Amino acid sequence: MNLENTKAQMRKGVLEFCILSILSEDEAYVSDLINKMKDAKLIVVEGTLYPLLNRLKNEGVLEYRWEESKSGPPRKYYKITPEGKAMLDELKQSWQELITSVNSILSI
Amino acid sequence: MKKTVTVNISGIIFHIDEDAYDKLLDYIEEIRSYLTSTEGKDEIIADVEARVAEMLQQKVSETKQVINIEDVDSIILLMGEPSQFGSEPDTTNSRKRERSYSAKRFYRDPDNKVIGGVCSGIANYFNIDPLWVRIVFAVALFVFGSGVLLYLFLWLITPEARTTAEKLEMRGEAVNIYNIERSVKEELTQLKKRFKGFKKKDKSYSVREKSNNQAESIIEKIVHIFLTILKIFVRVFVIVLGIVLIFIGIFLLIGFLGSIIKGGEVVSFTNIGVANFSFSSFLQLIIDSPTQITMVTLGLLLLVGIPLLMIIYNGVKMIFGFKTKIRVIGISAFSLWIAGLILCVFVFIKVISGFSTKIVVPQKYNITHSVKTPLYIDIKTNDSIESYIEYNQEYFNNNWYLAKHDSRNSGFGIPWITITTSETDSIKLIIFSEARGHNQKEATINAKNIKYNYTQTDTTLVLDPFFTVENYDKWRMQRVRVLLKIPEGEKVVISKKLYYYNNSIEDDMFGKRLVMHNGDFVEEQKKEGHDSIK
Repeated sequence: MNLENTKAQMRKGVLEFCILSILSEDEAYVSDLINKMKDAKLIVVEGTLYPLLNRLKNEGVLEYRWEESKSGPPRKYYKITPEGKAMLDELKQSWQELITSVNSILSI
Repeated sequence: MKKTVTVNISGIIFHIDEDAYDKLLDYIEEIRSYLTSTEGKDEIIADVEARVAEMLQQKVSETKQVINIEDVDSIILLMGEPSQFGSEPDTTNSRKRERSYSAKRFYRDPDNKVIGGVCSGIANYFNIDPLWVRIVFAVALFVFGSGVLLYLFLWLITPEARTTAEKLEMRGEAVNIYNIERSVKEELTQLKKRFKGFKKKDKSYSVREKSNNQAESIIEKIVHIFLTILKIFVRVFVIVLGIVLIFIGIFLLIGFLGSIIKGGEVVSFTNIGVANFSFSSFLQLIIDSPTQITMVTLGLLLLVGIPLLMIIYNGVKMIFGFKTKIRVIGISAFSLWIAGLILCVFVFIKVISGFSTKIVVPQKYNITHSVKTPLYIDIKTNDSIESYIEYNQEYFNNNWYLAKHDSRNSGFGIPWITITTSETDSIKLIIFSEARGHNQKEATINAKNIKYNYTQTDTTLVLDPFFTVENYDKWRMQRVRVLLKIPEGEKVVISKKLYYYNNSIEDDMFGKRLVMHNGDFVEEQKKEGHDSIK
């Protein structure tokens, strides 16, 4: 139970980074985003994503536009902002640093 | 065969099985409860609902038109447990959601409003047409001008019915599936309007927030600002009131406890001994047994203390603005108060019975007066009693006052003296000792414990300024009335000091030579010049 929690916490730490990463390539609808994350086994359920996207949008890192849908309610398409790009670059750097540090500890 | 509900999710209409609907509603509500502390909660919920609608859309087809519980289950599986919506970095969020569908409640009705939905809310509460309420408010506006204030006040204190459950509570309908269905149907038309409206509007707001049309928005904004300011004022006022209440309560409580436990000194006669007359000694004087004293003390503590504690409690509540299950506290306080009342009433009845029988014991004395000079009728000088009587004249007339002398275990009282005509030819002094008790025997004993003295010489009759009660530990309305009968033709001088003990002599007769003539005192003709004795 505790192990699962730790794992979830680890994943959550990098969720933001991954979302920004995915969105840096192209704008995406939530379900596309979710599918990509699911494929990468980063998240299991969609629920986790909504509060996170909302917060990132409120921080000005993401923005969205509405698009009509044939098969349902209008969809929100999320896109990264310039601030988001800057943040992503910093995150990429610290990710590299983190990998190096963690690996150096693990190899002992 | 199953009953279905028509439901509008994010602007799309679905037919959904009752049980599936319940589950979905619960699910969304539970997510909402996990998001309470999150910023942008409504927007997140709107996003979730949109996604749910989209997924549900994929579950229906030409041949399968109704959403069933399996569909809902599979969506919940994909979306995740409500706990996973909780504030994201922290997974240990285990808040329980609170929901209560119960009795009818007063809400403002946002779907049927002209200004703030107060009138339609009232109409919903009383099940009448809102038009009538509006007419009443409009009339009140013109007739008294009070309609505005009342309206604003109600707007201020009444929450708006936002969720379906709240709307049902507002209408006082049981929250069952049929009512929800109807309510949802009613909402459908409203939501369609919203849906049309929201595309044109600021995209960063959720559907819920931007629900109302522009017509009301300016008035609403002004009133909203006004109400916000008013709310702050009201809050400050309530806090001040709370502090005042706490202070009042504490002061009264301290004062009350102080008087019960210690008691203040009411009066003292310095010359005849200090008589402390406190609340507790008063209780001891009128109540028979120590048990009853304990009972009445406890009873009074409850009877007075509980309302005071409630004042303090309400003050604290006002300051901190918390709401509690007042019912539990209220009921227990009330039953304790009733218990206090019963104790007091019980002891009161017992005390009353201790005064039920009255006995008067008369004692007659002959006063011999054979010399020519007039009989001088006087009161033995006692400065403290005189000044006390003079000071307390108004209260004194019933002369039931009894001071208790602590060290000598006796009581002191002031007699009432009447001087009148005698039917015989000798001077008679009759002393009536009066007391009460549970029965004749007790009352007689109490009356006989009263001692009153006088001294007589050839030319003077000096009465005592007070009577004493021996073995005085219970006050039973002991009093002494002195009747002095003067026969026809007898000459007397009545000392001015008798003025305060007496109401039978005219004010200007004191200190003068008087003679009893035809049943009345008249001033003696001054043949021998005036050598009035005093």
